Amino acid sequence: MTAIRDRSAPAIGDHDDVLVERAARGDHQAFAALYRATSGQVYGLLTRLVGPRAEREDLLQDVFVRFHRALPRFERRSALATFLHKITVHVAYDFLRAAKRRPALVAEDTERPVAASMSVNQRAEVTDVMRFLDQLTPEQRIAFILREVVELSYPEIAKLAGCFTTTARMRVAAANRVLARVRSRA
Amino acid sequence: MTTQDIRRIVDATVEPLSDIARASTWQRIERALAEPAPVPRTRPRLAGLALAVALAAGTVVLLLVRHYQPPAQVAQLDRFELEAAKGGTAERRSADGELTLYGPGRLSVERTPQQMTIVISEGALLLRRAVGASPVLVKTPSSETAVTSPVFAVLVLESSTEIATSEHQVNALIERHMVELDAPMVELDAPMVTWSPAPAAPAPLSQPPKVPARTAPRAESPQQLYVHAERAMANGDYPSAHLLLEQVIATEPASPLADAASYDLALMSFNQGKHVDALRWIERLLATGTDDGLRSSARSLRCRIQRARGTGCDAASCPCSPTD
Repeated sequence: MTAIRDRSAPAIGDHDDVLVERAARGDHQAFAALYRATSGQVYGLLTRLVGPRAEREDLLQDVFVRFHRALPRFERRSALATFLHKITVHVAYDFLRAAKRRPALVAEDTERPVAASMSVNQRAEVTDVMRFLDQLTPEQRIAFILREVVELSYPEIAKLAGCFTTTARMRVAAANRVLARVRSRA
Repeated sequence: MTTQDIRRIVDATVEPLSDIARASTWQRIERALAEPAPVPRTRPRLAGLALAVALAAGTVVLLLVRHYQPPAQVAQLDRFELEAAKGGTAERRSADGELTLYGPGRLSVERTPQQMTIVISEGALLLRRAVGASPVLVKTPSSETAVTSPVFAVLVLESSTEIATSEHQVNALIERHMVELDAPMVELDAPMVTWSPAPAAPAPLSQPPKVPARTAPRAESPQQLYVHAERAMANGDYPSAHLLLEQVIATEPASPLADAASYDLALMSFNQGKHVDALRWIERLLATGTDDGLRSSARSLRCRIQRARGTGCDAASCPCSPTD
């Protein structure tokens, strides 16, 4: 799988197999080391999937709690990064589904500035993009972000999202149709 | 706003995780892990369950006694209709929950104090409600069903109705409706496959009248088979998923859908430890597939299998990725 681009954290390497083994056996220090090595990348992926929301740290916590509980079942048929990113996608998916049921919360978040260093134009661009992404279903949004922003292939998206490759294609295509409608109205 | 713009803007929102945030989140993780794992809601303790049932029954009796009205006095509180065009959706949010209609379709909703009734003649609907809400009566041209699940989907077909009541099944049912609507998009990429039946030989005059043959069940399209396969996989029924994917390939061997099915079969076989089968599907995809992305993923998967078998891989021709 293509390593998910994130300049804030190094990619996960083979030496982590030892850490994973120890963490799966309950070694707390090993799990802490895994967290230090991977939390930056997970945080970056969460930000891309759900947007610059205040709940990202809560979601980061959720990812690693689930990761810890799932570690004994990790059979190392896939890379650690794939396993962790799959959990991240599912946490993002649950959050987006819940957010869909609370539209007022979505509106508040799109008006919140991302960073004080961003210009007015940049904040307006972020607001526009988040408004577009909020029109998508959680499935479409995740597939679209993984394809168009993270630049994964359809089989890689299918692996993370737990669907088939054609379904991943359909979701991205549906998202692009929404984007076309947004562009035609602008 | 192009996809390149979206990529640039989304990437610009990604800030590095600060040391303070990393440390504070770690503290919360440690606290969460120190607590016992939550008990699954499907296995409540027996005594608690009995008490909850008794309380619920008592509450229901009390409510019935206090709010009973003679039928003549029941008022129709709310009635609305939704209509959606092909590929579109119509939504309605209310205290009853969120109702989404996936077009093309039309439905009407009647709500009284006693019950909510949905009449849908075409399309697919998805309703999400609070747990414990009263049953919803769903009427379609072919059926009438009372649904109690807090989330459910209904798909109206030509001569039947499908109802899904778990999150997984609901997603699969809605996806199936959307896939069938989008089916022509997949077919445009595939080469035209034409089939001409052989001309029927003229029946000899002396033959006795033939007994009408039993009509064969209508064959499903490759797209429908693919959706069924995905549903089977989601339900953990890997043997059925496997068979259905093979049927997709047998039905339209020279199509992008068959390429996708080949990759899915290779991955499923690899995950089940069947390396020889996985390699066979990969070689099929590499020999006949036209999708560059799928071919690249197939080569990476072949590399992983070779590493797993201890046969190594040629770095020059094999895009081995530790994260694949």
